[in-house]
Amino acid sequence: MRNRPDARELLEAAERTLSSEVATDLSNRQRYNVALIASALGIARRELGNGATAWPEELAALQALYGADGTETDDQALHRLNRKFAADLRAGVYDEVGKTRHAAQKLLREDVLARLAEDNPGYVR
Amino acid sequence: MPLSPFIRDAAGADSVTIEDGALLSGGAIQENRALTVTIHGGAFDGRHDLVLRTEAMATISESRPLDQQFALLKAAEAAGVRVPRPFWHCGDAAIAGKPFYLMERVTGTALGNRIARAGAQPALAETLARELARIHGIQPPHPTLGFLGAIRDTPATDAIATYRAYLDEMPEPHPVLEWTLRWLEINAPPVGETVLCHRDFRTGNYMVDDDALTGILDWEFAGWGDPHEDIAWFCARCWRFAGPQLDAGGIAPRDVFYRAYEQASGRTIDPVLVQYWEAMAHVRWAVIALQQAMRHRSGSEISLELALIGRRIAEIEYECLNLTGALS
Repeated sequence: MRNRPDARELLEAAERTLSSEVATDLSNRQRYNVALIASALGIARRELGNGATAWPEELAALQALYGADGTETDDQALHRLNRKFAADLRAGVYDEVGKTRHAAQKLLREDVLARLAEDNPGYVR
Repeated sequence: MPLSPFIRDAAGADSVTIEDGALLSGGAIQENRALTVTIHGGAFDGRHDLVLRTEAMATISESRPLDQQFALLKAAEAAGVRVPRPFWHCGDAAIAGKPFYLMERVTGTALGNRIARAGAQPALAETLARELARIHGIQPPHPTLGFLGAIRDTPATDAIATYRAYLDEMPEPHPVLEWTLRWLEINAPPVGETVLCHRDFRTGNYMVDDDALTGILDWEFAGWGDPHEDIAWFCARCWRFAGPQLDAGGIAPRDVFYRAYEQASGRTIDPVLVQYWEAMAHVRWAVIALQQAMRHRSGSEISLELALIGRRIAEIEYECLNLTGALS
């Protein structure tokens, strides 16, 4: 068993030291760099807390639209199904108002909100 | 330094001395160097604070070459737009290592966050609206802007085709952007009035000194288009920096900007068209952000700043869903 603090706790402490202590006596240019580093650490920390995708139900939602293929890994499935989904959106497959369009819209929305929670949690107020 | 004789000949001067200054910031795409040039004799006699602009190594696909940027600056200057005065363009790489042009170094700051942090600045927003109206007064056919390609189908459908082609070059699929582009395709407006669009007219791309506008920068994306495209780009959520509640560039309420633009241009702004072009603006910024992140990912330019732009896509896509009515 690992010792504590764990990866997430360490990253959080590193962010806090950077933002509240290191940044206070630096030039503008270096303060900007410190903000970038703290931002990268924060995204990485939140991503580490999640699984393969920002939205755990993403694969299930895609498979609900397209069916599952038992021979591929989750990663392969995510890539293939998102590619198909993107191509279908472009081709107008989801133009018609109805249940499938509704499901597609929900997928897009949940996915964006989950990614936003990792990448910029303060964005939506 | 081979630059001095170039300036001496271009200025019709007796002699020229150059003090080499620092690299200026704000050049994600271009490289800008400050020069102080003292010219003896001729029409340009005197001391000039100039910027020497060259192309940086990695360019993004839409960016126009230097000679065209220079011609655009000249055309804008002739139309009375407040731009850094363009001096000379040189296509010969032997003079300064690569092609360049020289322009006036305007004073102040262009930093979006610094400008927006100063709060509401209605007078500045009105000045900018009048400048935009002047830019949009430039219309085809134009004697020196023949290089600007004609609109192929409509400004909207041309843009959709361009951004889809860029997305096709990316290693990952982007369903939200595809959704938005499809919405843009279905709702595409017919051709309206065709004007010179700056295509990067926003907070962060103009210089402000002591609350006053000193110059409109970064003309490398300009082309013929619909005036609503520039208005939407200026107002888009992604360019409000520290002032998200002030729709017009983070510096004023939208109606202040609209009213000044309408008065100066004689046009009526169609809010439905602005919303349409705001959705397009976010797709465009997303595509540019993907390309910027790619510069880091491909190893062509390792930079944490570029890398982090790749993780701003979610907030841009959130605006895309909002503008296309897909959030509720």
